Amino acid sequence: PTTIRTRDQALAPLATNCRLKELVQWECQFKEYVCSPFKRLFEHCIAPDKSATNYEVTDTYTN
Amino acid sequence: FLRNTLIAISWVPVLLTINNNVVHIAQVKGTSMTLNDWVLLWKFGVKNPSNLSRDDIILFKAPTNPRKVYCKRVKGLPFDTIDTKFPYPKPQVNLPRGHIWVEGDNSIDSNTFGPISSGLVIGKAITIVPWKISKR
Amino acid sequence: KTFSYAIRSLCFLHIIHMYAYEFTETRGESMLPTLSATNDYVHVLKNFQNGRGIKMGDCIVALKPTDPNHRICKRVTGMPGDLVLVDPSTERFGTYIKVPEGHVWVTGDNLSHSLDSRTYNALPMGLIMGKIVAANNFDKPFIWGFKWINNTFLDV
Repeated sequence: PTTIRTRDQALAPLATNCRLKELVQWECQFKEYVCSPFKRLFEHCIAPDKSATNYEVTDTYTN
Repeated sequence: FLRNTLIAISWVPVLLTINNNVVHIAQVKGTSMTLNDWVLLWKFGVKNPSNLSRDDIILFKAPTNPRKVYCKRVKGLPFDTIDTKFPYPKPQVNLPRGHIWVEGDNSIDSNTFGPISSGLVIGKAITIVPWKISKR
Repeated sequence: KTFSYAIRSLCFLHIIHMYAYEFTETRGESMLPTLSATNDYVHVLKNFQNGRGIKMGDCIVALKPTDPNHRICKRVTGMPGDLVLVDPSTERFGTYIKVPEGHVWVTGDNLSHSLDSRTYNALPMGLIMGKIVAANNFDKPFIWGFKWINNTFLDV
């Protein structure tokens, strides 16, 4: 069972080296298929113990 | 000698295939189960929920750590309604398609990690190798 | 004698398929445009079984959580402990989930036509069969539309 978090709750830990990474996915419609890219942005944070956590920061302006 | 060794080696994949897909012998550790023991595991077709029945003892990959194997009893099959207990957050749960509910007889089980996909099942305990729900 | 040879060779192939490498067909629109909807065959490395060594942005094959007789191929878009948006595709940017221990978040590359973690929640790593590293398309002329499938999680 997993709980839904709000953006503020999820990104609170962000406020360890972080860098911005992107992962491009697509939205394809059958018109042949026409695909438009959908970019997703993540803060990729590496803690001193080398463990990495990604925080998705995709927002209205990303695409 | 070389020839016989090669022949012996050529049968290793056959043994492995049988071990992986048909029968296997597995050790059961811990106190959560009737058991504690080495059990004979039936593996053929066990990932298919229609080949599992309630109260079967199964071994499955822990959903929280794929390198761990848990041994529990099947308490619910797909679409059953289960009365849960603490620490499950809801009093009742409907099992989705392809999911089963597992509990120990004595246990970290579905009440902690929820219904499990039957694809995680490794095998069904048949015998010890010195010998047994709100709405269905 | 023939029978014995056949058994041994088949089992040998099966073991290779289980633990090392598999070449298998994929179908469906969920991984467009990375994999085409028909006649794409993928090269799968099985040492990534159970999610061992899987990274964010990898393309994986797994058993379908709701039906172990079917297999899915998806992109890993969240590792254990990550905070990801449940569905940002076109509420969108305010609904997060923390990927539980031992699970990964998977979405099809084609967010418009994909049944994935957005519906059935995070995928237990125990269901992962392997990592897709390359694909062939037999609709292409004979090589045969070979392409590498790369990790898509990149620095901006």
